[in-house]
Amino acid sequence: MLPLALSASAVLLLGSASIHTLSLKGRLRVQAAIDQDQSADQLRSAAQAFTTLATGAQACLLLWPSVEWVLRKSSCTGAEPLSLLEGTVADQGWQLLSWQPAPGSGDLRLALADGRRGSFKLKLAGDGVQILGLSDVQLIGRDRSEPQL
Amino acid sequence: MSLPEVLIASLLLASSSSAALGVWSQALATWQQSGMQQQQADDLELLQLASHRWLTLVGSQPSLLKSDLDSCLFDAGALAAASDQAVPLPQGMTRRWVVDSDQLGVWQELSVLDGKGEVWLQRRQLFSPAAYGLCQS
Repeated sequence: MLPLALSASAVLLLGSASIHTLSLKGRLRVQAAIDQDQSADQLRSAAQAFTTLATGAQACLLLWPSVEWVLRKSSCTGAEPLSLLEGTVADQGWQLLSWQPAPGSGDLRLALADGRRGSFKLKLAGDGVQILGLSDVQLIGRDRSEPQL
Repeated sequence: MSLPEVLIASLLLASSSSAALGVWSQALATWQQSGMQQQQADDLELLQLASHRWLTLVGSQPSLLKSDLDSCLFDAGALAAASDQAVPLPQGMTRRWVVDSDQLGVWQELSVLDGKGEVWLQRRQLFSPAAYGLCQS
């Protein structure tokens, strides 16, 4: 009888340990999904900040890809490319990876200080300098070469 | 089968059953809590997207902007009143519109409250009128 009781106890304890592990895995999966949503919020906020900064004198820079901004500075009176290349939103630093305009739209790629990156599609007016809309973020992973905060 | 053997086997089974029941009940509670948290996280994500789509559709209303400034900024009060009508909140959730300290826009803070009224889950995102075509370049 004792061996049977020992086996039954072992099955009960091992089974409950497995169920406990499964429930903890589920909890971690939910937490990871929440963390990803919050990452998306930070990238969306950085993109919204970019649209605020890309008004006034800086709006003219939207006509050219970001790699040409320094060269085109003289074509945009009063524009300061540096103000669009990086910034801070709620203590979280962001950096412009690239801006690529096309007729009626533009592709914006941003990175947060911790390496998370995202891309957005911006809808532009016919003059190419006024932003009319901003798409949702497409997460493009984390750049492991960036410092982890 | 002696009496001591029966007693030890019974004791072993009783204690392992009790321990297993405890773990199962804890696992069930964790599983239910995770399910509820996932549901509420999904609801917050839907609200976040709904706010963005609402501003995309009606953002061209100048009444959402501050009228007393040359700079292009959302009026947090007008935004709060209009969003409460357009994107109503489910019970147990709250929304706040907070002006960014650097005037980059207005933060929407969506929170899920627990039974004690404390914030259990929160989403926070900046909204700028420039992203919705409201700021003339």
